[in-house]
Amino acid sequence: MVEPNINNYDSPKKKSDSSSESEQAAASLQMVTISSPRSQPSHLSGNLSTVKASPQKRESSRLATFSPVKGSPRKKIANSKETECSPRKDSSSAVNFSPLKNSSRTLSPAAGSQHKPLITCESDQAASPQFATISSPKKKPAPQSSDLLTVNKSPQKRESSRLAALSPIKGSPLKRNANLTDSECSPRKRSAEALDLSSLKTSPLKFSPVNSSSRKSRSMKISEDTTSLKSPRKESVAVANSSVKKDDFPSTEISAVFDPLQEVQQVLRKRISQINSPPTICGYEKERKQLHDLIKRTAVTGESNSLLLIGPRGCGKSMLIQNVIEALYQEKKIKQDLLHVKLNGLLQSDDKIALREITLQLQLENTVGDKVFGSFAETLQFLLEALKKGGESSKPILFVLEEFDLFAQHKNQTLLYNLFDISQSAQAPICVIGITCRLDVVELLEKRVKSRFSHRQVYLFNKLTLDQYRKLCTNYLCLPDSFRDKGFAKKWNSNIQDLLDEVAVKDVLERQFSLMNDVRGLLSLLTYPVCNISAAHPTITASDLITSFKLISTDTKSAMLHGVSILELAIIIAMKHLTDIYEGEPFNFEMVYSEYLKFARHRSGMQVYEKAIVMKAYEHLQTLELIRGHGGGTTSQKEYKLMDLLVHPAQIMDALQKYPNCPTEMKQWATQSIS
Amino acid sequence: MDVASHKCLDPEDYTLGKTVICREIQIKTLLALFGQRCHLTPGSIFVYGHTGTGKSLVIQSLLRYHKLPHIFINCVECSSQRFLVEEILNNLPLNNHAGNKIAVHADDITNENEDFVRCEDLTDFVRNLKSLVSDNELRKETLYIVLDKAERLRSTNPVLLPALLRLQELSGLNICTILISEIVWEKFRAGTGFCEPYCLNFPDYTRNELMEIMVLDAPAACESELYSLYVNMVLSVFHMVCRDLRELRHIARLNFDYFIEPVKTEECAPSNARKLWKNIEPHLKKALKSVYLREVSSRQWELMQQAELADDDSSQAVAPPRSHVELPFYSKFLLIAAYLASYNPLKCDRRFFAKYSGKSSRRMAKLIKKNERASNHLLGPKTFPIDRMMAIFYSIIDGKVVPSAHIYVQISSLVSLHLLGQVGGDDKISAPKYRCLVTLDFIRNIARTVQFDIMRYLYDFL
Repeated sequence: MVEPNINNYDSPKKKSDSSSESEQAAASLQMVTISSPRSQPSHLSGNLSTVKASPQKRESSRLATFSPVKGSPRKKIANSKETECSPRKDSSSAVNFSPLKNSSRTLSPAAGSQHKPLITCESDQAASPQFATISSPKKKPAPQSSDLLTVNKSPQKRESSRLAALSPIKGSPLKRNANLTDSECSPRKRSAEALDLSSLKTSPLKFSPVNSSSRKSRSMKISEDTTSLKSPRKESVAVANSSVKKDDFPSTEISAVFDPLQEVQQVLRKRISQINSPPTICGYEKERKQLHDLIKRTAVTGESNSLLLIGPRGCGKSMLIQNVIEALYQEKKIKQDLLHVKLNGLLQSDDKIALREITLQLQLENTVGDKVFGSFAETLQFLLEALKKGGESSKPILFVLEEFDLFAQHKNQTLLYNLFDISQSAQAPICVIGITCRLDVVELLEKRVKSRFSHRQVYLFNKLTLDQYRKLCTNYLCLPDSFRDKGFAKKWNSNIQDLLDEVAVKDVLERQFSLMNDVRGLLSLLTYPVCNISAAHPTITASDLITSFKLISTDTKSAMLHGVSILELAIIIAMKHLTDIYEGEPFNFEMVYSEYLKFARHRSGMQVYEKAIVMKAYEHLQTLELIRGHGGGTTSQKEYKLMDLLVHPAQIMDALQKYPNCPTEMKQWATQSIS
Repeated sequence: MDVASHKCLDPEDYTLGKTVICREIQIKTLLALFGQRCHLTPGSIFVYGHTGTGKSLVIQSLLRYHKLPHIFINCVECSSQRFLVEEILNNLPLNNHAGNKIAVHADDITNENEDFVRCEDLTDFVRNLKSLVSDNELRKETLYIVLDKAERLRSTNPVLLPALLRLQELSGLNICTILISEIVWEKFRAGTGFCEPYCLNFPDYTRNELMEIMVLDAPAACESELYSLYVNMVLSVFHMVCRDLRELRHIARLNFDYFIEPVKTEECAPSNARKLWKNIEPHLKKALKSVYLREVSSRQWELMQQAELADDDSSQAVAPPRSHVELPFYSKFLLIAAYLASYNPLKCDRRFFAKYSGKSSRRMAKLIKKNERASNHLLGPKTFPIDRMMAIFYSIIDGKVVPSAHIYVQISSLVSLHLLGQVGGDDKISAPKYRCLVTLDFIRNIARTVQFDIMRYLYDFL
């Protein structure tokens, strides 16, 4: 029973192979407290170490013996988090109310794991505590901590002596831990005892919240260190407020009076926007499970993984990942543990930027400070080390790299090399997921990178059938069950059902499906009808959908040809004939002009324009990119520059049909050339 | 913020208070897409249509009329990614918070524009945008980023355009990117990461719509009926050639004095359309050949007009010659020789320039002609070695010319005038080849000045 503890003392560098996370947490904390109390000059950890000294050991030893308790301490934290208050708020309130509470935090084994979420978990929150104090201890040797250390020496000893006699305590902690999950009362009581022991009166936990805007944080960093510490309460309240505001934002109430139509607009518009999440996912069950299991293994057992998610655009890759992560975050333990770093190849255009972004997303920018690192790997290593420094082994990190193929274009593929390397070696549990639409993406990787990749690939293909497509459309247009006005929702949904049963609508859907069978195609079809909902036009009608289909399926080039002048149209027809005659060979202006002259002189009563005017029309077509220079030819005079026609004959004929007041002889000329 | 008050749309709104006409359908569609201020809009909208169809005008006045938060950027001004993103960040329509911003940074004021946001890359851009917008009232409303002449973005960083199109997704903010271009969307797709925008076409104005818009330009002194008659005349000359509203308005304004002159002098009644047309037609035709082609500037045109209207003879007003270059005598012949060498096939040189031309040559010529694919005047000039040019030169010039350095200097000066093009010959070993770069009209003018009938020597025109 005592053995695990002894182990902990002996092997301070224990790795993350142990199965119980909380045990580790406790163990490492303990390690900190016991093995090196003197090297903890920072405020917080100093506090923690000293205050915690006594109960900590007890807890850990307890945990070693009672594995079923494992989950509970975390649950408690999660509970406290559930009520919208971040641990930051907790602790700041703790600071304000009484030293009792404060120590209650530090007493429980969860405290060890608690300050971990503070560092990392809340990457999406508005603010986070500044933990520069923890990891850069040399800056300020806190006076209190040294005091505390002296104060606490005695209990520490007592505790260690108590370790030998663990058995009497065994029974009670279990109960207590169970209590912990229910309410905060019991630990407080306990902490009272503990407090008596340590006779600790002032335990100012120091948090200096950092503002979300990095710009500010940079400029205010110094001032905050000195000033904000004085009023942690105010700061955290402000932060809490801002986070509340933020949460409200997506569902901002527009009017005090509930207007169902307004709400419908909000819901549907959100669905067709880019920040949407689909109402339901159809298909991909197998892939979803695979992803889910993979990430879960990383999150729970600390296994390192790498995976590529490959599929065409708009088939739901990012959506699937997002969905899986959201599902995983339902579990509080994972939500607390798992860090999520999102990178996008479009934004992080080189590895330096990517690294800075990782630092920011892990909220380690203050830890890094202005340290200068030799190499990329060193920096990344430092970041991962910094995450460990919370007093326990590394937390699992999930890296999602969107547009993965773009990362492969970075110089030396340093980022990918390092990420895959870490995922191969037992440094820190990370899961690297690359999302890409390139099937040949593995071939883009360098040999040394490829060999470190696990070659786990998941292919997503768009396998929607027409029926599924129709169903998807219904899903997108129907209101959710959570809609406030149930009656309205019901009426709306039945309306939509009726609408989609109409023959014309079915036809439009089928045609759109045969053009583009992915969700994005559907969304672009639905954009116009959804946007058209207004007070004056409160429902979606079949004619909306038909108009929308017309709008999105218009051929853009024919539309542009509709607007060219007659002269320009004439020379386009001349070009078409030239392309026909010479079987796709490029032409130059002189040829086009002579072709035009043949027509204008002999076949029509049209005015014949001189060369310079025709040239201007020709150049206009060039700006419209309806014709383009044929590559390879030496640049000579513009009259002789070889050009290619980029309009299909069918588009020309189409445009001629619609062209207003098109001369008959032009139409005839277009159908039959002069040989 | 009166986000709730959604005005009931009446016809007035579709013309934006009568400032924009003939674009009702487009405005209606755009308004539907925009929705109310707080609504999410489609992430990106691509507006395309010919130049002068009111794309920028409609969008700009729509956003201004409804006072929507927006940034309007012309991509011609923002040539690089950095200029563009800094322009966006520094011109965000942040209402009433400008003062606070400065206060926050009061401690690090070093130069006068301390609140200028610097931004190197897109990661910074998105982060700054997020922090700036979410600190502000702006987050409750859609922010419109309008990029005019968006085709220019293609030549910058290849990921810039996809990132801008996905800005809503990447930032998680209610942002709508509107791209305006006269090039169709298909031409933008290059590289990876594109998220299809919602495409909206602005069709060209019909002839009647053009009339309606152009009549608005009528000068105060002129009745609108008379002006519309005039516009009709202008269109009847130019509409076949040009549909660009701006160009048409320009032409109409320049020629109006010609049109109104007989009415002013009471030479002709305003109702006499036929006479007015007779009067204005030659001027419009002339304008088509000069102003429209930018051969005279509008200032020159106005001066000419004044001179012409001042004295009734109107004879001395001569349009400036189009392609008139004064060259030394031998240079002219050198250029003619070069032209002949460029456009005539090598085989018929003997026929044109040898003293004894047998009868068989004609048959030979026909044979050659059959083998030719098309005339050289369609395919462009061929290159020729300098010896051939000199041989032709000696045979067409009267009298004896001593081959001296002066002649060769003239060749190189023709090259530097871009009348001849040099191909190869950069190294000492290979002899340079040349190609004549002037047009037929130009060379005919030159030949006329030296009384040389060039058409007799051109193979294509036999």
